[in-house]
Amino acid sequence: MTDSHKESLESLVAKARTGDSQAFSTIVRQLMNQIAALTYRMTGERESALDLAQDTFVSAWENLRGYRGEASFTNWIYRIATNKTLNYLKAGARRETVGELPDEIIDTTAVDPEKRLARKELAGRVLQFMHNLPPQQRIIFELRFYKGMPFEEIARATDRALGTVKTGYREAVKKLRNTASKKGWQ
Amino acid sequence: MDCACAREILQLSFGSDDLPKELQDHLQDCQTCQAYRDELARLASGLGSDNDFVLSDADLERSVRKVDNAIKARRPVSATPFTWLRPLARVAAVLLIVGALYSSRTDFDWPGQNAEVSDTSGVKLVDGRDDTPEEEMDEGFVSILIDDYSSSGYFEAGEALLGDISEEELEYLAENFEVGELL
Repeated sequence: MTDSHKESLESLVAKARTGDSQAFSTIVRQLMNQIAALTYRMTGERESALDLAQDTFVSAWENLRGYRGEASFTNWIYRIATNKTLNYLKAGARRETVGELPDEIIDTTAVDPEKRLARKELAGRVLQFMHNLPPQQRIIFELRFYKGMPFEEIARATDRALGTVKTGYREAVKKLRNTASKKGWQ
Repeated sequence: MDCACAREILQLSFGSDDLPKELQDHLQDCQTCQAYRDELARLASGLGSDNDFVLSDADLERSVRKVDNAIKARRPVSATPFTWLRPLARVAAVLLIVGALYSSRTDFDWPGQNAEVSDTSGVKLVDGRDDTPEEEMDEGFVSILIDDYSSSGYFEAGEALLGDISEEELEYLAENFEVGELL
């Protein structure tokens, strides 16, 4: 994210905190993709992922007063998305198998067929790997690897001890090696 | 640093190019750990990045619209221009309640509480602060009583009324008034 974009997000957040729903709508437009990516990789389900992403922003709007700026606004939103997704997974509403990635959730119109296929294969591989992880490890891996969140913030976001978070990430990496070895991934 | 420690750090650094100097020094001299580092790097690149996930325009627009509609249905979270009135309104409500309780518990002369009632001839029949001793019978009152209730049409009322009168009062009536069949 460029400095100007980051600054823009901060000023949008400041406006949204005063009740400016238009500013918040702009925030939603800017961050929806990142949040939907998280919820999709966590659930593997298109509709659920979109619902969870939308619910995340609605909760964020309702709790804007709770955002005190200790973490970045984006990380604060990730925390909300994480909690909602974990609750969803705990409720047991998840698919047993992860099939092909539906075309419509990922925009493939801008890429050529070869790249489109590669992107689909990659996404499918990711989902296969992620869904071999238990939910807590899955979210730790998502926040660390895909969102670049420091371990300390992941610990706060998941209400886990720092050591637990680090151990969870290492275990996920080991499982990735095993999965790749079994599946013959290059 | 030994190889076990180096592997742990490589796992924790998975997806990151930022390695601690101590680890870099170990990797310079250890081919086994170099191979492990290279393997993890390949796996990381095989997982892509967050930017590989791009929501379709249709889903993005639909999602933004749903969020807009949902938050419009809710109250704004920010301070309204009149939130400073809320504490004042609370104080005013408390004062009203206290005032109402206070006035209901104090002696208060409600209108009509001690009203005097008179008959059509102007004789005072009911005194709100009636302190007439029982042994004193108001002659005017008795006379009116008899006049009002001694006719044949009022025998029942008269009997009911006279039923409450003591024997002394009955004697008084008999001695001083022609009450006839009434008694």
